[in-house]
Amino acid sequence: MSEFSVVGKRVPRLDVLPRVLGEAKFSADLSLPGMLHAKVLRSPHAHARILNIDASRAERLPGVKAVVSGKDVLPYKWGVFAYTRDQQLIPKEKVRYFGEEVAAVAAVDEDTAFEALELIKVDYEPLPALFSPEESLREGAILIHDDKPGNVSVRIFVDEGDVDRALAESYLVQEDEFSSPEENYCMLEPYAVLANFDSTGLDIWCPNAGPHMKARPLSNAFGIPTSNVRVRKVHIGGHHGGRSEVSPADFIAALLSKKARRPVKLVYTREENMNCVRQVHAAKTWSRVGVDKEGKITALDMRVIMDGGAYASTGPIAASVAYLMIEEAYAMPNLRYEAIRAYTNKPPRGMYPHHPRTAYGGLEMQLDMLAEKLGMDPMELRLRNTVYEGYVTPTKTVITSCAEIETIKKAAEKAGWKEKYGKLPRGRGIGMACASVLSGFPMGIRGGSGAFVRFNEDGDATVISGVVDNGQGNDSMIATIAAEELGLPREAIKVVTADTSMTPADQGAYSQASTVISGGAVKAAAADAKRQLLEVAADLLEANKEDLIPKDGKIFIKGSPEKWVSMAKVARTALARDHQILGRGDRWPKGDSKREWVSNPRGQIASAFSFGTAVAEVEVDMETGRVKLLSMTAAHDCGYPINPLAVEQQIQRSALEAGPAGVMFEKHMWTDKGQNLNANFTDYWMPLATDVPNIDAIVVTSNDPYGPFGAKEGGLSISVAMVGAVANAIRNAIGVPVKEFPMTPDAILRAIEGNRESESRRGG
Amino acid sequence: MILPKFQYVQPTTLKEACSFLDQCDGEAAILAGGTDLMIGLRRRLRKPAYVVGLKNLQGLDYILKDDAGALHIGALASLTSVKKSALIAQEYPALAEAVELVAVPPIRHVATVGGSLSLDTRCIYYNQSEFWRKARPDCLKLGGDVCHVVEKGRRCLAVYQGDLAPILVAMGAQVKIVSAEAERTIPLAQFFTGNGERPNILQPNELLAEVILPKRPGRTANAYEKLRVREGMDFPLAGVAVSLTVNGSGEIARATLVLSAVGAAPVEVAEAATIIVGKRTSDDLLEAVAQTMFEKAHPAGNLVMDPQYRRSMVRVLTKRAIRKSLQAVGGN
Amino acid sequence: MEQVPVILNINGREECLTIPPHKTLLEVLRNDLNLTGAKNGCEDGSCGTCTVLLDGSPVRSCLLLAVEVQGREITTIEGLSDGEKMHPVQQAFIDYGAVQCGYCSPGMILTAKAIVESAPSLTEAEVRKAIAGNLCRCTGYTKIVEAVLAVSSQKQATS
Repeated sequence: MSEFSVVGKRVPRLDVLPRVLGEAKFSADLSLPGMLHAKVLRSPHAHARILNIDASRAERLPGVKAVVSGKDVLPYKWGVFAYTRDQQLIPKEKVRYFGEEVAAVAAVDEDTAFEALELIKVDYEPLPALFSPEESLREGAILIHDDKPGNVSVRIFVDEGDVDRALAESYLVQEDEFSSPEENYCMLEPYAVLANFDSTGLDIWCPNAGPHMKARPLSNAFGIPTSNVRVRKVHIGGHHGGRSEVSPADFIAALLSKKARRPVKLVYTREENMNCVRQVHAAKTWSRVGVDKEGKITALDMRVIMDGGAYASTGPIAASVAYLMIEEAYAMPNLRYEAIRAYTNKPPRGMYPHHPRTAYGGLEMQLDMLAEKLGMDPMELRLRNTVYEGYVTPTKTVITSCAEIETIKKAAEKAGWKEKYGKLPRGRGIGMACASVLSGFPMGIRGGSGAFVRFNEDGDATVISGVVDNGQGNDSMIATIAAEELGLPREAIKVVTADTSMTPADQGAYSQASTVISGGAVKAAAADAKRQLLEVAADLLEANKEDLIPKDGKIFIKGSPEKWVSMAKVARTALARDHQILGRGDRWPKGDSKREWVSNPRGQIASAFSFGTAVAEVEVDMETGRVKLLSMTAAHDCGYPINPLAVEQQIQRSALEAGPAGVMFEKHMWTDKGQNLNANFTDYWMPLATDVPNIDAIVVTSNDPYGPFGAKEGGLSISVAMVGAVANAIRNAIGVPVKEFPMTPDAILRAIEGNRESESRRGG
Repeated sequence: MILPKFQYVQPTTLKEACSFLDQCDGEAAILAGGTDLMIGLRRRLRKPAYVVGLKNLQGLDYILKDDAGALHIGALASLTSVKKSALIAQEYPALAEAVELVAVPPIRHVATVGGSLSLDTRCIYYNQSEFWRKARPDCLKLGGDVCHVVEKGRRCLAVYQGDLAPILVAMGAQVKIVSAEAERTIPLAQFFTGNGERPNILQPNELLAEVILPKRPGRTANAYEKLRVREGMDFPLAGVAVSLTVNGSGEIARATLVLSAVGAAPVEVAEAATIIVGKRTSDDLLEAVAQTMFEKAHPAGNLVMDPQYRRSMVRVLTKRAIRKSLQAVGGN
Repeated sequence: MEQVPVILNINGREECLTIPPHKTLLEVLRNDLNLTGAKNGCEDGSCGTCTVLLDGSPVRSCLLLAVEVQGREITTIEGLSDGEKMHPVQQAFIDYGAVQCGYCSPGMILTAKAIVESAPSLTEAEVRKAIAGNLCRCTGYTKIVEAVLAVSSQKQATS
């Protein structure tokens, strides 16, 4: 039972009405008077020098108002980190993947824009192209970036304890290699930008995961102050890790608008969305894990080779998450981890909740194999290896609130683990996995969030926050937090969010920081407003501030519920006394600011950690290899649910993305020229409603000390845990681990066949 | 993404439609349901000068039984109407089941029987955007002289992936083809060319008007087994359709087996049928039939699934289709 | 370019336009009629975000030419609520948490409306089959199915 008034209540979200009415405007739905339509000319080569671009005929075509290319670009390279700067937002010297932007036009209509593209003549000098880390890391391979030797985008190396000795002394050691091709984000909204560049600067509407994170690179790219770049609020059709960074599309639309002196809209096709924004890393993981006789993990030695594509993107983070999430989920005294993210001539790869699926899915399958060899229930093995409050990871992060054990027990109970594990016939399987997700890691001067709360004379309030809502319900979340803090009903809170012209800086809705950091800032701002309200109310009620309780739009005296004054009256009284109630607050991640992904991977990484356990049950058709998901159960420790409904939503989203998508269906295929063969929803198999059962979502609490009302991130642990759960369920069903992702029917039959062959070779 | 420009004509009778096609001199595309052509237009796989839209053509969407007991399905009958038809549920339930395997309901609401049969063949090197295709020399199906699937390939291997054709062929269907001057009725099996470049024998001035199914003989059952990964949406990666008639002694009196989605046309495999005709089925016989079907299947690497897998599944599909038919007819 | 006059029946209103024949119904809805509820999500009719009801049945408006659908009844998401009151499916989507980013929601809601009105009662399997043509990445489908089943039971109970 909730001891709060609005927090913790399972209620519909506040922000969805425009969406069900069809009123919600996404970037592609917007228009401005005089708007032009843009199209992008893309490279037909995966790797080539740009020798010359002749756009004169295109420029002369009636209806064409601007043409841009690398010639119009400042010598500015963008990167998420100072040391990863490698991307010109339109390349000048060379193209590095099939489909990369080369030029763009803005015209009065789409037909004209298309026609104009055909009139742009580009001379290329094709270069040898490299399509896998094996090729690009090879000695003597052509450099994709001249200043990145060996085509290494980033190398992460962690070595804590004495892994070799621990493994040598282990009772059992499991060593395996896992591989997976690329995945895609599949957000339903294709990328679209509306940009208007005039004498006051740039207004831009585009999908994002943090408008402030887009404003800064755009201001650098144009050489104008950041405050002249206004990234505006817009409905966003999903992010899932793929839209946090500035995109060439943003820059191109803005550049065209600047040149044409008119608003410009650029709408991507699905193909462009799948290829030219971000993809999900392909990766190979080699893992060696040891346990003692009791099944306690002694050491993990893991090496991941990631196919990063043409640019760095969030490389250092992407290459680090595997070991971070693993060491935060399972206790281990010794850890060695090396990840090499290689450049290749493929589209750039960004952040994704469960990448690399080979690391998480692989290790979880190894844990099950070890459990089997020990004659132990895999659930028991996990219970023996969970982390706990106060646990210090190998890289010196301290775990704070932790209900991992409860997530295991609750998920197992709901899924019927004890009744099923070890008792299912061949072809039926059940699997389990655990995961942890860090909430809010330090990001230097841009890692914090600020918020204002403005009281209105009607006694309702407006929250002004930089947090962005990509569909996960952040707008509703901060309204709920403010309502609780201020003692107002949720409906009395309006929010103004995600607009860099109006809202304070926010770190962005990734690294799972929105609840802890953005929500924390809103709570602080609301608390500041409350303090001002209580001062006035104390006067009106002739009571002590400490004895006052705001609730349901009124301020009561503790113990005397008949003595109250309305919030509206307090607000108006303040105004009559020449005072506007204005609350302010900010919140920062707690962490070791000296910790750095590459150069110093040691110290407190984040403010809080969520935990989750997933259980999946499958039926495998042993003749065809087809998998049917019979059930998916997931328990997630979110600290405290601001809205349990919203947490369930995130758990369910995560489960689908991890299990049927990440394990069973999704991958990209390529031609020998680096062309994506399935950048569409016909041949890229996203799960349908008929591919999944109901997902049982269980909310677990642990009352985090740092999160607002004890809340941590709301559901992402399952995006990792369900990978292992489904992988293990399949292994349990067929008796063999499938080491290639995705486990499509052909991969499953290959694994069964491969096992049969090796068994007969062993004479078994 | 916008479509290429064209002139649109909208006949209201079959005669008008044929007349238009005659006049358009090969420059016309037929728009029935649109679930194939519209995508082809958007990708500029086709840039016809004219589009002949059939959505307002009256009187070609019937599902009727004639006095001889044969079933007549107008080419513009939607797949949903086939699925819902009480007549088809009674006479040819396997056809209704096969229809339900096509794509998803919104597609079936507009897609037509005629459109399904004249579905263009598909290949992952062909069904791509214009930008994607232009980065490579034109393939055979595009009128060029290379195949991107098989080095030095001279024959287009694009795959026919319609879900109705296999079972209709197995059930002995015929199709009526009309033009301004003439009308002909041929076995559906002969409608397909086996050539990925031009999948069927329709001339530019011809329309597929009707599908005719013979009266179903007694003690006959049909089945279609479709290989796909997801539970919906997907084209078949391989398919086997079977029609079996069982005699009083439980022996197979007549059998037709059709192999589909592993080549440019659905094909009847007579050699597979002869193995079981005149016999009672047994596991060994089924293995032999499955093996024969397997040997006839030569899928290429032109879909997003390993061709070896697709080929080996032909065995499984064959056995399952036969077993399903036998179960339906109450034999063996 | 040749332009043709068309009269489209959209949400019970007659809309008279002059358009080139190669415009899809989706483009006309979004660009000419400012009905941006129907979305563009793919190029090959595979996502369902463009779904409208054609004579009550869910179809992909990106696969229809505007000129083809004269004389037919077209319902978009904007036509579901009568200005004041929402359709029960819309309300259920809010109540059951069946909406996250909302990009698939117009198409999904229309499809749900059609299935609820076409059958006296529904099973979970039937609902999933009916919405199999509407992709969603945000919800995992569970709450959408719950919302549709709730409306269906409610309809059963009140009938």
